[in-house]
Amino acid sequence: MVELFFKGFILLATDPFAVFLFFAALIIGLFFAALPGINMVTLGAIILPFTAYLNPTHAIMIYGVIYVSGTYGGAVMAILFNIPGSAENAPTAFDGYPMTQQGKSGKAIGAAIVSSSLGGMVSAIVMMLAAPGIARWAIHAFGPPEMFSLIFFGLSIVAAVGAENLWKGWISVLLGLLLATIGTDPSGGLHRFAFGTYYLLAGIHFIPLILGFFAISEVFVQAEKMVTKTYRAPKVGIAFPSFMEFWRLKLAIVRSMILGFFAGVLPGIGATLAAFLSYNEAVRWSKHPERFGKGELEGVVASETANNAATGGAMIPLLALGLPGGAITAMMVSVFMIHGMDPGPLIMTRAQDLVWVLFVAMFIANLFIFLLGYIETKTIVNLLRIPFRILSPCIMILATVGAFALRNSLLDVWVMFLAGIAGYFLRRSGYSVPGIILGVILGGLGEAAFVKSMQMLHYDWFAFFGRPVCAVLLAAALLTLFVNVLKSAKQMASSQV
Amino acid sequence: MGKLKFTISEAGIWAVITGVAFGLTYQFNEPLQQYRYGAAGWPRVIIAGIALFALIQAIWSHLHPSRKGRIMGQVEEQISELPSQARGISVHLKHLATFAVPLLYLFLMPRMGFYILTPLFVAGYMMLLGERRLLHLVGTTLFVYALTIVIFLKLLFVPLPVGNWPGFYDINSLFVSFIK
Repeated sequence: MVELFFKGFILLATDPFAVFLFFAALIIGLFFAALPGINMVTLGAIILPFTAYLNPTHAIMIYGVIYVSGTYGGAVMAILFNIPGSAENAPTAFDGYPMTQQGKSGKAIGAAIVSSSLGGMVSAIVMMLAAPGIARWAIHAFGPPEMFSLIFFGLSIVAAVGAENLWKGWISVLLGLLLATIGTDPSGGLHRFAFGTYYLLAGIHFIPLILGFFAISEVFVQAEKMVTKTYRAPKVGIAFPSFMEFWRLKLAIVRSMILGFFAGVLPGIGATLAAFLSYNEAVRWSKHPERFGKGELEGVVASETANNAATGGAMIPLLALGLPGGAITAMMVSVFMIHGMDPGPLIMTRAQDLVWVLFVAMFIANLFIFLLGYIETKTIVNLLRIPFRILSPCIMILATVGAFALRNSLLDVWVMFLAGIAGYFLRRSGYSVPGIILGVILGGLGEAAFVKSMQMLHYDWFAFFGRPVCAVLLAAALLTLFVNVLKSAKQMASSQV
Repeated sequence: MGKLKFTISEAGIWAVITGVAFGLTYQFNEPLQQYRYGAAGWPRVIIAGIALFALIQAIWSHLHPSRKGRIMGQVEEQISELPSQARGISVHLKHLATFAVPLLYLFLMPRMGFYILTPLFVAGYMMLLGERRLLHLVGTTLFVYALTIVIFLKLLFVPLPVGNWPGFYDINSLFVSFIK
């Protein structure tokens, strides 16, 4: 493996054009991910036609680097302005944004950089070591029933974090699931909640919802403070976290790496659920769970380690079996096809140079995130010095055009603004905006997996428990639900004494 | 608003949402040959779940009035009530305008076009939030405008709305052809 790694490194380092493409993808990925509404998927879609003019190694490498840098880049806006660049950065905002408001933005971004970089590098190493074996296991062990069980487990966890209480957490998640049913149903192709308009047949895209619930509702919250003269500008802090602060979080980092990597292997689940699961585990294992959501460094570390660790995991089914797990990996399949190649088990032997250049590029991209991110910490936090009355219309315009650009439809912009208004009221009433978003993202996948499971298991609900992975996941979900209900009941009893 | 009133209105809103959504499921409640539960099965379970948790929440809120739980990512001041002195009629109107102005912008965009309307919106929203310095108003407006056009029009070729009201369409189209 070491030989192959060095071979990949030499191939990359001795090709000036490849080096140029590497740095261009790294920097543009970071930049695009930081813009509200525009993320690495948009960037990937834009450059897809141009990859036909590149050789396949260069083209695939670009996507690998964008995937890595884009996953980290979204954390910056989540921390500074409570506007996650994409869904996988949403849990980063839970503690990152309160840290910014306490004048610890540098620490939060520093923690995001180091943990993203570490998570990404370790997952890249595991990816190099174990790609075919893990892919075969995951694909055989995870059918629709397992996928449904995992989604149910993930949602049961998300419902417990982020809201004022458990019930509001569940309402938030279920509201997200309900929004995800808008469009066409996966079993019979019938139109649901489409109100006779063809715009809604494809469903509501989650990007306008993320922009609305996070960016626009944040603008409304801050605008309210400005008109009522209660606004206080966040302090600018450029202090980087110390080594000892990271050392204290070593267990959380390792746990998040493992969770992130394995979640990344699963098609369609990937980095988003990884970040939420990891955040929840950090809360559960912490000696001070009450500090989470109020600016706890571990919250940022858990979320960012996991989402970047998922990038390496996502490459495994792609390269070993030709199965994409998300939008970027699906575009990578398109790149293979544009160049007349079949991604799958044979790619590892037939296009060994390509695969190892990709592995090396992703590993080095994670290393560069650390270096570039350090510079970024000292510079980008100065955005906070701009008065919010100047920033708010900028955020609104970028979000408006970002939502519009998604499908060139003003309906997406309406969805975004309505979600912004709803988000403003839901946040004030103690509901979980990230819970709604995860419900929307996983709703379609969850329903499709449930429909297929029922058909596979001949509508026998108990058959779920006959499959070991399902049984473990469902038991964990029910246990989570039970423990949380118990906690809430105790809380209610103690408040009445 | 009193706690009880808030609880009742909150429960009422969820009752309306779930009631309407449940009623709408009859529009696609057709039997499917390949799937026993039909297209309405999944949404109905979700709706029932929302109704159940909203009911529990209402009871919880009634029995548990004083306690404020944790809300992730929101600092205390964000979820607390605003001071009473901040609540004059002009402040209420301004607050309302922070929601209404973006909606008006969105309503007018397909009519007046993005290119004419956006500078007015950017400057107007900044003024609404208290910015009065001419240099900041003009500078920020031009910066945002230029940034948006460079990224979305020149780089990403996004066909932003050019309006359909007489005159506006021509001016917007002229601007686009000039930029391109």
